[in-house]
Amino acid sequence: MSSSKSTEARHQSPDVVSMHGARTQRISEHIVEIISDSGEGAQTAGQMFATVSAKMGNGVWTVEIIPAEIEPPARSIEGASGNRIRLCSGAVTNAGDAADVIIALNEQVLIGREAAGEFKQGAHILLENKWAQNKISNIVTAYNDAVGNFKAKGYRVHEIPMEEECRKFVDNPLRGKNIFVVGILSYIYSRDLDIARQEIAKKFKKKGEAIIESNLSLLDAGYHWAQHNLDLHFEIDSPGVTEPQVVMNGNAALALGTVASGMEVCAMYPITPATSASHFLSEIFEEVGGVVHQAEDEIAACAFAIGASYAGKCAVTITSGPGMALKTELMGLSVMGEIPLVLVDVQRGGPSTGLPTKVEQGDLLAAMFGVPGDAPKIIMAPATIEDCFYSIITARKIAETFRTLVVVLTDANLATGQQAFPRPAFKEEWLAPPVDQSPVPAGANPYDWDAATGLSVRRLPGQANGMFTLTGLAHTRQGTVAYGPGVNQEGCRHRSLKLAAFQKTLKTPEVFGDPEGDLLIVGWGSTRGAIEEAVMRTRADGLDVSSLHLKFLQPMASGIREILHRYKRVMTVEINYSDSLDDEIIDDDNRRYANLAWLLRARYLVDIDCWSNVHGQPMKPGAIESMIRSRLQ
Amino acid sequence: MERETKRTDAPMPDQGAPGDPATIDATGSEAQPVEAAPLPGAIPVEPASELPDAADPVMAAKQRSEILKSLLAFYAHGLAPVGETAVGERCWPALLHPYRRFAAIRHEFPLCLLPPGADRPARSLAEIIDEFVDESGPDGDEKERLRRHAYQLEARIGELVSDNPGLSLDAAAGKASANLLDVTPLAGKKKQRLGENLEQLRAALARPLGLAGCEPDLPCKLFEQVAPRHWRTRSAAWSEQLAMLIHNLRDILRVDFDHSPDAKSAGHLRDALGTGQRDDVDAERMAAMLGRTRLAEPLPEERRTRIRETLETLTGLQPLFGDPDRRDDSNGVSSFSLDPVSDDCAAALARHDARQREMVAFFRAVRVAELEVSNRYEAALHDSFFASFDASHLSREELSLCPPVVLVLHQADVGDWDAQALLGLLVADLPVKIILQLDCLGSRTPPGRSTWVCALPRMAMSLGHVFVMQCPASRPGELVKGFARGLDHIGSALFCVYTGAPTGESRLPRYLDCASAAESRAFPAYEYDPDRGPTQAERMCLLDNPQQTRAWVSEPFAFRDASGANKTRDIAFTLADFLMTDVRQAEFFCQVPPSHWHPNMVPLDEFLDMDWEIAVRDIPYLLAVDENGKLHRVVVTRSMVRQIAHCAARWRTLQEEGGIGNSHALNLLAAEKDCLQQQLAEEVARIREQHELQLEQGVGELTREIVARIAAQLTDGTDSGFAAASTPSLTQAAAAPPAAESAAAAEAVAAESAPGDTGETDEEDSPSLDEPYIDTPLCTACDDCTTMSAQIFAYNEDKQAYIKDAAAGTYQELVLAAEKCPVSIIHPGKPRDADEPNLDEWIARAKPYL
Amino acid sequence: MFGLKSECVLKVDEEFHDLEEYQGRVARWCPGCGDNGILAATQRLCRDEQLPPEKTVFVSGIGCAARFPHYMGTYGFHGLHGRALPTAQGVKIRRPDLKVFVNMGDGDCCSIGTAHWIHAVRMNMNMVAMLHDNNIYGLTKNQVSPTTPKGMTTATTPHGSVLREMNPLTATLGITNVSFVAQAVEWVPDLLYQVIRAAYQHKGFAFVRILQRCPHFMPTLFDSLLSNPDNIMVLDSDDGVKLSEATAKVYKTREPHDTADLNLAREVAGTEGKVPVGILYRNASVPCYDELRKPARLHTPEQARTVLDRAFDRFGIFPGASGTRHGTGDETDRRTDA
Repeated sequence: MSSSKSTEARHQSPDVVSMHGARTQRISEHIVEIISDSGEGAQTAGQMFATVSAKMGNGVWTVEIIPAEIEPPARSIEGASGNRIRLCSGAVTNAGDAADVIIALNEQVLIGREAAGEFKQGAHILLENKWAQNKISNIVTAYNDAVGNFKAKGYRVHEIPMEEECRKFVDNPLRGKNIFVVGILSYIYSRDLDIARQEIAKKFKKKGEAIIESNLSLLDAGYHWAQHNLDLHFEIDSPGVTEPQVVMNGNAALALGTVASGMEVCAMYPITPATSASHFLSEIFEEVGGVVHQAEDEIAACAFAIGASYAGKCAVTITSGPGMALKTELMGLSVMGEIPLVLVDVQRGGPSTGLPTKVEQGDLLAAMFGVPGDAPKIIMAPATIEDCFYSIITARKIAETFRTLVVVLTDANLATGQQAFPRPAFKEEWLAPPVDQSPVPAGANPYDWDAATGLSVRRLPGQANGMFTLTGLAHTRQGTVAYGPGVNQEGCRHRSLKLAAFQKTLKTPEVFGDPEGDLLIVGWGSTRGAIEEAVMRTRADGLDVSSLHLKFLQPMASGIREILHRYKRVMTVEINYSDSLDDEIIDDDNRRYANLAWLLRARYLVDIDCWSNVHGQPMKPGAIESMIRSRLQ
Repeated sequence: MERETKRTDAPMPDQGAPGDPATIDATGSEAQPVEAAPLPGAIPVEPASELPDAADPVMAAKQRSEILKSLLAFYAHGLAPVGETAVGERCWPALLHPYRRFAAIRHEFPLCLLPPGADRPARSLAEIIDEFVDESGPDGDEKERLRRHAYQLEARIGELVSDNPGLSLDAAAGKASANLLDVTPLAGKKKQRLGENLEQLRAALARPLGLAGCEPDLPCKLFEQVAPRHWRTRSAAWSEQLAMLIHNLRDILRVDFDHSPDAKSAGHLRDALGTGQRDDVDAERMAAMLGRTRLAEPLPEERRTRIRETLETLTGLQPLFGDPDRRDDSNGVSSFSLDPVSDDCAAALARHDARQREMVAFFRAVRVAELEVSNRYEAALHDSFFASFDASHLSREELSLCPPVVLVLHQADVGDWDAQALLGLLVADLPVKIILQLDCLGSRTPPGRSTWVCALPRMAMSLGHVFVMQCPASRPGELVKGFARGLDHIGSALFCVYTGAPTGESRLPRYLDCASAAESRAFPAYEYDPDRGPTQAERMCLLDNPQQTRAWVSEPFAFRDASGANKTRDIAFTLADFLMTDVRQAEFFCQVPPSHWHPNMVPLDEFLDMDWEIAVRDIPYLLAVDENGKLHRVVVTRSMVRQIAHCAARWRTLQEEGGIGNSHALNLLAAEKDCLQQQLAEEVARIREQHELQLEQGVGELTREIVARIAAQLTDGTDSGFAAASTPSLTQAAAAPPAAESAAAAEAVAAESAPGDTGETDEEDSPSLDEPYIDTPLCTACDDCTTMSAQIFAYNEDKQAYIKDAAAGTYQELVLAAEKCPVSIIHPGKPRDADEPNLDEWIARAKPYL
Repeated sequence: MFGLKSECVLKVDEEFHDLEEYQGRVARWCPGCGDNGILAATQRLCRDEQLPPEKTVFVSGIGCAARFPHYMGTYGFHGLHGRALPTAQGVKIRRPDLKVFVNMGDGDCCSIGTAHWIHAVRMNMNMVAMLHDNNIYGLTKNQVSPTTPKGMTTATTPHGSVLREMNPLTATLGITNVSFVAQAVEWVPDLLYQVIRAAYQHKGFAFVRILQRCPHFMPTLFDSLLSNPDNIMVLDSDDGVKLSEATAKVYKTREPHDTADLNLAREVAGTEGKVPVGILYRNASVPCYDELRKPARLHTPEQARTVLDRAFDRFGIFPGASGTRHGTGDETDRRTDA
């Protein structure tokens, strides 16, 4: 029976196209936002729409819109909850700028988003209109005011009797209204209803046939209602899928990366926005003999991971800024004892508790310099969700090979954003080797530092004749505590040499754009997509701008200095705080730069500018674009 | 006789269950027909009726002597006497008479063979049906009707099974209920009810279970149920360990690879770094970088190959035990298969040899693995050991994990030439499980059947290390348990099962045939399990044979005499009663027509009780009953009597071995008893004597006291509590129970000796105060004294200080150490060298530590 | 397994470990420091249990007591102040083959590491935790500790400490899942040894508080106990410690006890005036976190592949999902066929 439906749908789509042919717009990309009070299923609707589009081969990037509270009051401005989907005919690397189409279940949730400049000029707003007939008079007025307001601002508001329509198919329209919404969007963007149906079937499998059926009917209802009542229809090239892909958010990617890296221990303590990585990991980790340990606090989590790693099972601890601050002392121990450790910091807004659910890139310097004393460690920052997956594998491998701490900096943007990427092909080489229990050759020391590279062979409990006591105190290559003048110098030197040794293995990052020119934009982490898109757009207008994106922030690859010198101006674009010279009392003598800018200036003695903010929003290509234009005026 | 059907082995139903009719006694008064008869009612078997015993008065003396002659001739030489002689075709031993309507009797059969998952290997149909009926709702007519219909169905299924063995439960149930419905005399509503109930039952029994009747194939069917389960439970834990072992070995190789230059090669690093499409790390350069640094040591080549080979061997046999990590897929389950060898000892031996070679190699590998995994393999030490590693090295646990070879022997097919091979493998205690099926227990065996086979269990038992079970097929419960125990036993096991005479050779239904074999002591059920303990008492166990403590089973037999009066008489069920039903043994029996009954004819059991070797003029007979309930006398030959005697003797030995009336024990017991009684007598005498003595003393004291007081009174007139003071001493002396007294004495002695002992030890312990010493057990190993003078002080193997050599230092040092010791356990004693400078000061300072 | 060691393989390859092998570097505690006794008793335990030195790990925090691992001939982890327990848990979680011991001072365990102490008891992982309790911060030179008796003058409480000292025993006995609590005084070697040994043999988290003299900062702290052994109350129970004759002669105060009775244990732990020594509480049936979380199945490359593939399928998008390019129809067809 579903097949009959599908054929029916197939027959309809072309008719529709021809029917509305005149009014059908061809687009190459669009941003759609679905928002409601939390609990009304806007999230589900968004994910479903995104998945359908991804399965049709569109580039998709989704961003969750999450209220800070778990259950904010209904119809409240800050209660906005939902999903923003950027939909492209080609690949998509970031969340994009402002929404073209917004579909909302009440007008209040729109207000905050609108104020934040999330909506494009003249965007289409599809709005549940039941509020107009509400018994409570001030709801009615609030609704009318808002609608009037939006119209005044030039938005094209379509008021839709969603609940009313749904009631024709289900008794309780509050459930399933979101699927009606998916139906509407499926018409507007000419989505493949068969895929949508499969998604519904998958989503409600547990709930049983009846539920699936009613949702399918709502899907069709939405589709047909839009078909007959909406003068809004877009076509977007959907090339179809040619190679297997996976769609997930950055935290899921971290979890899968952990499994793929062969690590068996993840110790954590709940903290937003990092925790969801552990949620997903907990579901699958035990099937590979792994364990997610929720410790009594951040410190214990890190100590636990270090203990496991010392015993031969390299471990990961996943946290966010405030958590990393608490782990600082243990990070020092990991460096001092040369105990491999992977620490993931899913950055959020700071300082202090800051913006728990929002994105920022403010922990770079903390990661690099936060530990008292000289604590060389490797710091890397994934730029995409795919990167999140592979970075953990890389991090573990480096950590064990170089006996060092590797800090992986992702952020809330990657954590909650969803993106499709090629399905990874498992390699056995990814996995950590088993615990070495072979006897230690006579005369070998626990810290047989190689004079040139500082590297030494790790030694694990269980290895005969290898007994030694690891200590956080200054120690000799025999591992004995010693405070002699030479001792600490030697230790620090060798631990630092390891970083140099690793640095020698890094490739010079590639410039996006021309190898030289007027302006080079340097970025790191999740902003890559936005920056490169902005560069692309401005270059299209003939501006001589390029960009450089760094994955390894410590150590930094060779060749960067040369690159920097080939441009008239260099600036970083980051999501963290920096003083603006527009402020009256800010000048070159007291200006505080963005994290990366500090580092580049210090290392390469180039007068590097920066442009950054702490809005807690992902960088928008549009914003960068206009910034570039203004700089190059 | 009742035991036969009352026995409640698993998988027998609980005979106590309400409405269960399965109990029958010799008179059959409670036996149950399966078709609906008033419950509980009586099986309508006419009590046997006896003809006038006394000889016809008119019978001439001459004639009488003739008869006697002929009877004696038969007794002595087996020559048939005059008249009708052959035992009647349908003649049964008297005690079996109540079982005539065999179909009416419920017993263990047919058995349902349960699937591997089930909690036990098999269950009797009767049990399943009872369970169903009991749970079929409230008691009442409905239920009662269902129950009876169920019994009919059960009986019918039983018949079907004996006809076609391959039948499965659901099929049988279907067939049975169908033809029950066809043949039922019931009509209308009753028939409809029957139909409904049968339908219910059919549904309940619609399970694809195998069925087994009391048939020759029973032992194998049951064994095939038991053995795989047994193997699964046995190898479960090991399969876990094996998987772990294999895993650890693989890990060693993986680690070794990680140490190897290959692991530092650009190619490997590129993959290992797992960078996505754009790799930011240059694998070539990293390879170069790592190449410069010292690598961990790779494994020595020979060790690597050794581990590889070991792994091969282990993984090769892993399927046999199953891989716990792959339980979900088919590769996870054990590939253990039974496929028994039948009637070919040589083949069994060959299979065993092959399997043993395999297992030896396997466990050699296991042990190498054990050593490798813990890095304890040292070529110098172990190579030679493993080179010489053979079956003799296998531990019990390992042997228990070698899948057994199963050999099935049928009496018919065991040739004398098998004897050697058979004894060979029994003596060598090879892990071969032998199922020996007997079908002829009499001395007259058809050609090809060797009688020595019947003696095999007893011979095997005498070896001491072989597990032996003898049990008739009529007791599946015992068989199941025995098989399991026999499989537990690591070495040889012999399961000897009497599966009844071949069809047509016995007058009895097979089940009764098997049952009577045990009943008549011809084939007692017992088990000899060497694993139960070192002593005979622990190992030998009679599997509750009927009336186990007696020579013969003896039951009351009810009959009606000539006058028609009901009578009962106890008669024994002997070997003869059993063999009488065996057509092949006909020559030993002769049925004497009443006309030829003679006063010298003596009931067999009485005859056995007298000294029959010299009783030349008496002829033993046993009672038989034909299908019409007529009683007959069957006389037996002298050689049969001999067989009976031997049978009795064998049974007697078994009893003793089984701990019944063990002569040694009895003798000892008697002796013990005597000596105990004697001791007791002496004890009593002693105590009485003592007591009297005390009495006298008491009286003596009393009189003295009285005298004294009287004297006192005479001096001054006061009368101070005279009686009061006096009586106690008497009563005390009198009442003090001797036992308590002696006990008190004992305590007193102990009390005195105790301090004495410790006093002595004290002296031994504490050396004279002149010698310096340390309370070593109290030393807290603080290093103070030892660092002060390593010559004087040292630590013992528990790292507690003692004085190694006081002469190695000065008294001053001793005293200083004593002062320094945080737990002050150093005692400097007296100075040795009187000339030591300012000694007085040190002596003074030593005071607190002396 | 299989009694292999006992019967099959020549025993020759298992060499005997004598006390010397468990001796690490030379102990550098103050003369007369109680830690020496604890060290000796522990080494004796290792010798008597024949613990393979390479399979034994001593984890410590920071403080005088935390030097302990350096003086053992085994593996050691001399980590951070207060963090010994979580570190030890990490060591144990995937290495059941390792014997783990934790040595903490009173500052380490009862002050900076309190959170870990409480949760370690609750997690009940298989390890021995020794609290070297000398009632003072020694390494940092004479500061008041949570167990310093009220009124004691220290560098940070020149007029006497103002707070009443805490009782680690009652504290531990109050925590969910507590499974072994014992107390010993380091200057009674026989008792100390037996308590530690019982702790080692216990399945679960064995917490042993050891009263330890600090001759340098607290020279007179335990005088009342040293001079008057009767103030030491030895707990007597069938499954408790059995004092040697020599020791028993000195310590005569005995208290009948039932190590299975938690309430009694709490009562005894709170005893004023006398110091209870021996096993206060033991319950081997409390589930252990390391066993609850032990690998459900072995970590093998095949398994990793399976699990990952399953997860990828879950997030997967596969070719064949129809695309719509708005051009000629056959184009679309070709694509969907591909």
